[in-house]
Amino acid sequence: MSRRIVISGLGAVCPRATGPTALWERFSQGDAGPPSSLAERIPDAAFAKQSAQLRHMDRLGRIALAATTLAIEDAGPGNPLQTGIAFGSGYGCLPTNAEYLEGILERGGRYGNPVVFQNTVTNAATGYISMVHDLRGPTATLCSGHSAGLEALRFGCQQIEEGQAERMVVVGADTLSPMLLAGIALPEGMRVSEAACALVLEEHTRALTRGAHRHAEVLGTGHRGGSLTNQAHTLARAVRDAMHMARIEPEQLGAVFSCASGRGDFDGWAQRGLHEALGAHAAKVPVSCPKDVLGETFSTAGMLAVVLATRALDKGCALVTALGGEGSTLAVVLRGGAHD
Amino acid sequence: MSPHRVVITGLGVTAANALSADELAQALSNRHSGIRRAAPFDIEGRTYSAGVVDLPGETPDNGLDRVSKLALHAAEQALRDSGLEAQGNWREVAGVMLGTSRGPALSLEQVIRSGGDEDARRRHFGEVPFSSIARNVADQFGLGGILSTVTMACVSSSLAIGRALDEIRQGRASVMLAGGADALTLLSFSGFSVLRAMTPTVCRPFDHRRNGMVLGEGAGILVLEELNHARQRGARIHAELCGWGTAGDAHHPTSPHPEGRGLQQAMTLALRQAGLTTEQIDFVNLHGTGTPANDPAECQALRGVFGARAASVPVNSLKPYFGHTLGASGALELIGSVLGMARDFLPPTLNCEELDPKCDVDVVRGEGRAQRIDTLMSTKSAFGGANVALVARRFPETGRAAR
Repeated sequence: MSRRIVISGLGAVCPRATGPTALWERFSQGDAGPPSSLAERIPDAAFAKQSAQLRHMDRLGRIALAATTLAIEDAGPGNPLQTGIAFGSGYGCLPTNAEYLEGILERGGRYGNPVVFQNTVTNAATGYISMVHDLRGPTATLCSGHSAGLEALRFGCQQIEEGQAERMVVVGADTLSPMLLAGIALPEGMRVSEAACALVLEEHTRALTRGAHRHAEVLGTGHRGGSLTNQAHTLARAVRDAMHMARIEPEQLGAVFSCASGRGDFDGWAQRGLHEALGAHAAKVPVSCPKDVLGETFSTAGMLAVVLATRALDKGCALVTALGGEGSTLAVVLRGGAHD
Repeated sequence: MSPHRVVITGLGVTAANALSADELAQALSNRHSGIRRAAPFDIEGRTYSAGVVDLPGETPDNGLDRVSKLALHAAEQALRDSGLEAQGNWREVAGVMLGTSRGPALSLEQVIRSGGDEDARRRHFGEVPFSSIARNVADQFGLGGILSTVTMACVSSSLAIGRALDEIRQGRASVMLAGGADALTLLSFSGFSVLRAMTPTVCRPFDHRRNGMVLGEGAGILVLEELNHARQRGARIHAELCGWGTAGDAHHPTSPHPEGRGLQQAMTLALRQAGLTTEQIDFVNLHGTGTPANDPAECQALRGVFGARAASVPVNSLKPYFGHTLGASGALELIGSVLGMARDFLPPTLNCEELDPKCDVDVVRGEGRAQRIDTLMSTKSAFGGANVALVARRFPETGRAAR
């Protein structure tokens, strides 16, 4: 990367875990028992304290805002004009679009709910978050399947590299709705979960100057697409790109946070992709699968894995992967935050 | 290492008044609008005009959402125009970055209409995610580079183009298909009707009688290429894409900041990346939706960035030619502007007859303007306070680039 970029703020909101510490505890202890449901939603209490003026936000915006607020509080204040936001969501506003359409199909097109309509663009969430936290730098909303969260992270890095922002708030979130659950072909018994996660990315020297805690450094990212039948090879290329950008060899990786989800096809691609990219080191490096504990959280999964990696890392390097499900793949290489 | 230079080597158009870049150039010079008084959705008593695309050879039920069909047509045109198809091994590295606002909302409607028919629900749901459009394009042409979907309302394709520019600038891609698509949907017609954002008459950007937008559908896709890659294969270069910027208003969920605060920042960032000053910008293609709030805010942003020169830099809106194509508008209107630059012609803003004093900038009207321009900016704004500005310039070696 042309500039060093660190993660100076973390925020996560999941069922049974609010905040990075609670997330780490839940992950490291594993699940004590089966979840109450195969489709877990975030309790409304996690965002109940949000201002009344935000009552027009949809659920996606609310959970994304809750995670963002945690990350910004963790990072400390920044310059609004130099702070941007990148939001990644696999399904975005589709639940809200379905709600609006169901209303007008029942009552007629003249009787659409204008409050719901303003949330039928995924960047409504981005807009609200920008208003609440006065983020007037670069803004982007990405919906590249389950890899959208890590793609937002990559975009955030690119904006800082280009000098377009000093810091970028990167957010991933996906909600669950009956329409989505009925449409997504989930294997029998697979657990899915709502989640939102946010990171604050910052140019390294600025973070150092203001004495910010540096959770980790982003060394490299890789992003590739390809045929739906050959995602292992696509993932391998993304991993190689990320390691090339990070200027590290496979042997320098101390941990992998894999996107394996319990789905046979995805898991096969994730495993074969790692072996193709890392060679013999793939059999030696410890591989964690956060979805084993947290369930499938779609675009947020990669972001949650980044938060977990920052907790697990001391001085070593970790790889985080994501399979988009629509052909895109993302890989991110991180290093523990102690390096200056 | 200095950033790579990025050039536009292919243009693909699906619009109500044109089904190729050449047809669009012709339509703009002839002031031909594709807006019809027969919108596909009547919102119970309110009838609207719209820019409807007649897609040639459309197969009604090949499983793809209409928005993907619009995108595929534009992608095919862009690739043909680029000349890449006849050349070596580029597919493995070529990326796809597409933007959309409504995405496959027609398929979502079908999912809901399917009710308890599980087979129908699952069949339509495959197309429902926003990412299905980029995936369909990548699959159709066997492209194996970066694959990405942007959903940022009316700046979607501008953002996709800007992001693709950065990927090539930073040396992480050499060829990208970038742009966006949106189809006419019941969701849009109902919602914008409820918000009273659509005109019951004519779309008149910057005119004091303006009272709303006209919706359109379409797709605009550009082939962006690293300069040396284009030169080595002897590609025809339409223009150089040299900078972009995005910024949020942080002001209101649906209305623009009255002084175009975020748009000013986006324009400033685009100029900085391009290494240009406002003095060097010869023309600005504005968003110009024809809504009461949008047009003055844009003009105010122009004054904020261009200062005294805002009164003399020519500007236009292309919305009256094919409607507001939402997520496709940024790409289609950049293409229209690049075509104008190549032909030394600034297309007029149709239907703008009595300029609003709040929009007292140099709006190109009437017959259009024969004028050489060397650099242009195209700006778009969206719900959520999102803004994007793109800067392109005439490539020094027009025509076949020297090897």
